[in-house]
Amino acid sequence: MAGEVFKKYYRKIRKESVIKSLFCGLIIGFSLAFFCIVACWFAGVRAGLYVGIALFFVSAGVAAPLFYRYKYRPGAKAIAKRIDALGLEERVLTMTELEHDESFIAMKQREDALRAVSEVNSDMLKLAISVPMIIAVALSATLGTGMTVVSALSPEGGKQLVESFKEKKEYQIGYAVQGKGWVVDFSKQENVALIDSVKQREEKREAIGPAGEILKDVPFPAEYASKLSAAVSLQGENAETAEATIVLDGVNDENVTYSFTVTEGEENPVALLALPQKGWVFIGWSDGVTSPYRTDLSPIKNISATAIFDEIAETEEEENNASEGDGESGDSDTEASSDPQQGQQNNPGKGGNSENIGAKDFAANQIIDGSTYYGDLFDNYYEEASERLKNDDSLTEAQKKAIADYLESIRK
Amino acid sequence: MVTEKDIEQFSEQCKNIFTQIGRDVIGQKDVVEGTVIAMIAGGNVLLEGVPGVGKTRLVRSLGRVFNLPFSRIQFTPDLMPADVTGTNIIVKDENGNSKFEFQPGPIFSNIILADEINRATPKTQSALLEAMQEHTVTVMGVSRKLHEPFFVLATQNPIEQDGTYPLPEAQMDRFMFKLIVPNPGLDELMAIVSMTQKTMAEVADSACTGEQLLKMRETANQIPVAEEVMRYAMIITSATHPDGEYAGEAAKKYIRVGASPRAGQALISAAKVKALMKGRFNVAYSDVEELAYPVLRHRVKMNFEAIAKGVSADNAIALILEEVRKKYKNK
Repeated sequence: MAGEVFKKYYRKIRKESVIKSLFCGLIIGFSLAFFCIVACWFAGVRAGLYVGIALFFVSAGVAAPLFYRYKYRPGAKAIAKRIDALGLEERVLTMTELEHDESFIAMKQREDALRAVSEVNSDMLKLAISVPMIIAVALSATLGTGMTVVSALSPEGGKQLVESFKEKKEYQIGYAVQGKGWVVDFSKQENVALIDSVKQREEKREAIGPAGEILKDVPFPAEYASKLSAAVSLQGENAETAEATIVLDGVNDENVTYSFTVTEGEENPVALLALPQKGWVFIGWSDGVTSPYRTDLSPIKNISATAIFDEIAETEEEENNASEGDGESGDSDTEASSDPQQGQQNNPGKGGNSENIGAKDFAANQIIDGSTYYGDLFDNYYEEASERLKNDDSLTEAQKKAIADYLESIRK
Repeated sequence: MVTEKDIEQFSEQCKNIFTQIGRDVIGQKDVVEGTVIAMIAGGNVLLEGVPGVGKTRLVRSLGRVFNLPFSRIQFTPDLMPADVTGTNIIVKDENGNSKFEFQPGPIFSNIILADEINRATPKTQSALLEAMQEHTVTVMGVSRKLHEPFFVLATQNPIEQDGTYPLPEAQMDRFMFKLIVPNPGLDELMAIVSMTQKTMAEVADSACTGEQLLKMRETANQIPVAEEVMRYAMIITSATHPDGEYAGEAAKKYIRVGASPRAGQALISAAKVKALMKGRFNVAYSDVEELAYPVLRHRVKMNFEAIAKGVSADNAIALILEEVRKKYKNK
């Protein structure tokens, strides 16, 4: 008879037990998945997402039945207590305990309990799921699902986040210019037009001066085109026209220093090219880099580099000028012919067998780009100096020997 | 063996008892119910109230309702134990020889009203101890059994404590209930005055005999108590001990000494009677919780902090019940 009473309520109470067990399983599943995914995400383990999802299903699937079996499965006493909670004053509980008692008072008690149970509506028995449990499920589901989404969207993981909390060093990057020349930054977006024009002009490049003038006749070696192409690929294709960015202007002594700070791990977004003014030559960077093009992408120490430009020697220029005006110089030679020594002194080069190097071909008018070999130039000078020395009768033999020894020493 | 008839008689007699008492005693419903429960359960009652609230009248009415001999002992500081228990006196027999003859004292009755029990000396108070617990009286080495049913209904005045002797712990523990008799409300007061203006006579009739009362006790004792409910009652009793396993914050903070095992026995016995009075055939949590106050209030000793803060025994019991309810009910 008690069993019939229980049947009415058992289904509802069992449903509640199943829901509670499921909730507990979900709480455990979501919590474990959350911690697993968080740990893998920070460690940068890409498979953490899948491990977390698998862990969720396994743990929830195992925990829920265990909770039902050992904690929430409704026994007779538990059902009796739930029914008594409807205001039956422990009648059903007592009836359950006296189930096998055949004494008069036990029978009376059973009758009384059954009568009381029949007077209550089974619908009055509501599902009793505590608010803390509902909150725990919601919270764990939010954390677990949220972390799953985060992990799916950022497979790189939280390493970068962790890295960002690490104390990073900062490096001071400083560039300067010495002499008459410019240093142009190719990483600036504005230089895209310049880069684009260079790509089209394979042999020559038009540099844009600070006043907007085009500096012509500045040959640009073809090998730098590839480097510029790399710069372009980094920046992307952009056909818009814009002024180039001159970051250092040694010509007008403006912006002679270009400094900034780079944080460890960040890229140094500069790609510099040193451009000498006409009449000047690029010697090299003060830190030993000889190429006028330089990038310092990921610095690991402070960088301080000065683009050094040097003026081309005047004697060479004068020779160029002299070679251009042979007619005029002939008169002066005639006047000096009465005094050969004087003439030779005045025009030492005249008596010599040196070749007349034109202004166009003269090395000083070329951009010194690191690929120029000065050995040939020196050899020419050395031969010329040796010839002059040999033909100069105004010097004693001892003086000649001293000069010859000196020339030989510098040649070595 | 309890029969259907016994149960029917129980209900009917309970109804009659309350009806008849109501003819003499206006109001005091809780006190009357508590007293009747204690009497059916076989316990003694300590009534505490200011003078004139009807303590003596209630006890006298009970005597008439249960049709039992009633003795009133007015405790005074000069009352001697022999005045309570009786003593041997020298009498002359028919031959003129002197012999000792026991003259029973007022305690040899069924219902004893020990009025202002705290005014007598501890020695005289202890004369009641044996009678209350064992229902026997020993005088000069001879134990004499008291009539059954035997009840001691004691009264004491909460004011005018000067020159009084607080009841010892051992004696307090022998009272099943301590009931606080409150001042009557306005309506009750008007009814009392109206009634007593007409007549001071007590008009309650007999509702049951002593034998019937014993039968009621036997019937109530058969009421089953679920293990969970029994456990709950014992936890409440244990929770009054500040150093016990079930002691909560209230007990640790306010109680010096907790209730004895007699409290647990009293709780269950009284709960059975209460359940049957309500027409139920099992004891409920609510029965235990309602009876916790009269059972425990005179058995727990408050510590200095409670006295200083004005925390009464009832306050402490309420806190203990709250803690026990939260932790252990339906668990």
